[in-house]
Amino acid sequence: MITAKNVSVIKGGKTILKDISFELHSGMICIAVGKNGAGKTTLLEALTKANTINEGKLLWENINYLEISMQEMALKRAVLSQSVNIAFPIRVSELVEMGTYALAGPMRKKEQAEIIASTLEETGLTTMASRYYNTLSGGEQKRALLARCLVQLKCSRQKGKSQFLFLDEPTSSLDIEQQFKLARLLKKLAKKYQIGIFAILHDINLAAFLADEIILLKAGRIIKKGSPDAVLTPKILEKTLDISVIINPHPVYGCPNITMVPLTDETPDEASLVYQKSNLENEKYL
Amino acid sequence: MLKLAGNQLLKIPTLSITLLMVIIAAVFLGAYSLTTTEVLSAIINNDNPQTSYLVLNIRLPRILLSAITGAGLAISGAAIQGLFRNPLADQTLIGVTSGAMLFAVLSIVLMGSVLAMFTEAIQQASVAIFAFMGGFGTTYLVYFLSRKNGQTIVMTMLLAGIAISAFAAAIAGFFIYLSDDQQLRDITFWSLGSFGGASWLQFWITGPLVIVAIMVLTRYAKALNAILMGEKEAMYLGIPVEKVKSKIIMLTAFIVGICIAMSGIIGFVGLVIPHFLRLLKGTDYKYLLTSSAILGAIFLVLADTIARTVIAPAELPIGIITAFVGAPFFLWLLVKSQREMFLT
Repeated sequence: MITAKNVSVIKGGKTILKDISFELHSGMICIAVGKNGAGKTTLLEALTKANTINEGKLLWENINYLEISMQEMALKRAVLSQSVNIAFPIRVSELVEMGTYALAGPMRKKEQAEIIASTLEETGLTTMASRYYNTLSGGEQKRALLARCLVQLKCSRQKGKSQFLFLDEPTSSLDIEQQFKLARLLKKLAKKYQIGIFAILHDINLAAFLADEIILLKAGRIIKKGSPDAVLTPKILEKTLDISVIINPHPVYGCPNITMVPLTDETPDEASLVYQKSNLENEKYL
Repeated sequence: MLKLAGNQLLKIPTLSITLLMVIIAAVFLGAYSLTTTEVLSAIINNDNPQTSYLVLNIRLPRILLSAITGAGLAISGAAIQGLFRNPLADQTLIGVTSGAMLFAVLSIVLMGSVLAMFTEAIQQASVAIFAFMGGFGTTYLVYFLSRKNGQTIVMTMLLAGIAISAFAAAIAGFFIYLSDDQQLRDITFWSLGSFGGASWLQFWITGPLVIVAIMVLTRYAKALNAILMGEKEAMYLGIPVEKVKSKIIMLTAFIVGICIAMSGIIGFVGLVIPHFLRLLKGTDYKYLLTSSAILGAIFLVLADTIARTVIAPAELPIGIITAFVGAPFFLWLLVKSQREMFLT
């Protein structure tokens, strides 16, 4: 369990995060949603110990982050960044192998190689293993980085110790099929391996489908947190994301299904009527 | 053809054997070329004291010293390029070269009159000690200036290195202006590099230190790999980035400081050898550090052999050879491999 208590982050005199408190649990998926500049990435970097915090406390199973070294931290969590630029050309296999740099204990080379091979398979990268990272497309690069994260988690797994995976906009630049695959993979990691997941997403429908908990951020503060049903309402979304939406239950999964309605001056009245009518019919989301 | 060379010739065992062969070959070559029987009988039977002195006390320490210097410069270049994530980086960037140059000039110009009463060996030692202290000290200053809140900012370090190098060069320039003809000649020769003064004493003082430092540096291969993706990513992988950075900077300054102190400024090796290997074999530092060291050693032994044979009995400064031979070859490789590899 990760606990954030009244966390504030100030960068260059500007308050980026203010008074953030929440908990992350093993096996649960928590998704942060908010506009650009709301402080999502800063929050992720604080939770991963890449950034220091100015006020408040961060605890990992009740141990203060300040007492956990970078090496120990690497056994507990892996991070998929938004984008990574590599200074010199390296091969996909070399990149993925870096996941083995954090080892919980001695591990034979053969065992490491097996984990790498199966992870490459899992992320559909087997045929690209010997290609140079910078020759891949944006989505393929993202998958290579994800594979590195998975190898890191697998190689540093310790019995009875919780692990977390942090993802900063993991679906950006992925094609639709890969987005689905990623969503399924995240569900599996949470359910089967009890890995806690914290992700930043802009796609609120994907967030609604994936999340056990959603955190809505605006200007560095948590506006609302809770289950998708509780958080994703037209009013709250209008307040935090400045969008107008119609919300219906998802036809298959039952989670909130969000349709955006651009209610600008140019919008025909008809659309606004449909919007109001639709929200009246689904009173539970009002 | 490049691929074949990359796959077979550049493997670490092959490179090691090549180095050994180059060292042996270099013993036979020089102002006085020797045959195998001459060398063997001189060493084993000791029947020709002149030849055995030439081989054992002049050529061998010189060859070994150039090998160690080549290894040190090349591995430092590889590490600095990775740490700064910059293909143009080499040791000059962290101030070690300009600092060593400044202090060597100070030693030659200011101490010249004081040291004139001592033997040439002591004069040389003074220049070497000054150069090492100047190089190491300047790097420390650059490093110190770019630290803030316990972090080293690489961009600041790059710019501070350039500024301090320019400043040191200005002061050195001033003292060069003041120097007399003999001092000017000493400075010029020193700044182009030479192993002309190599001795066993020099080798035993510097060799073990540089070899140990090189071995310690190779232990940072994984950290350097991780840093290729940026410092944040390296932290995510559990690399204590700040500690690693300061250690790599100090190790390279130490290695390069000693190398420059022994041989003067030898350019090009630190920049080109790692790139050459990268173009043919990729960037994995677990391979790159060791292979750079070995190939750097091969390159400098060859360059020094050319330096002492091409206009024998006189000799050329080795810095001229490294750039004159290395640059065109590197350009050829660069143009050719751009077509085969994706370079960014």
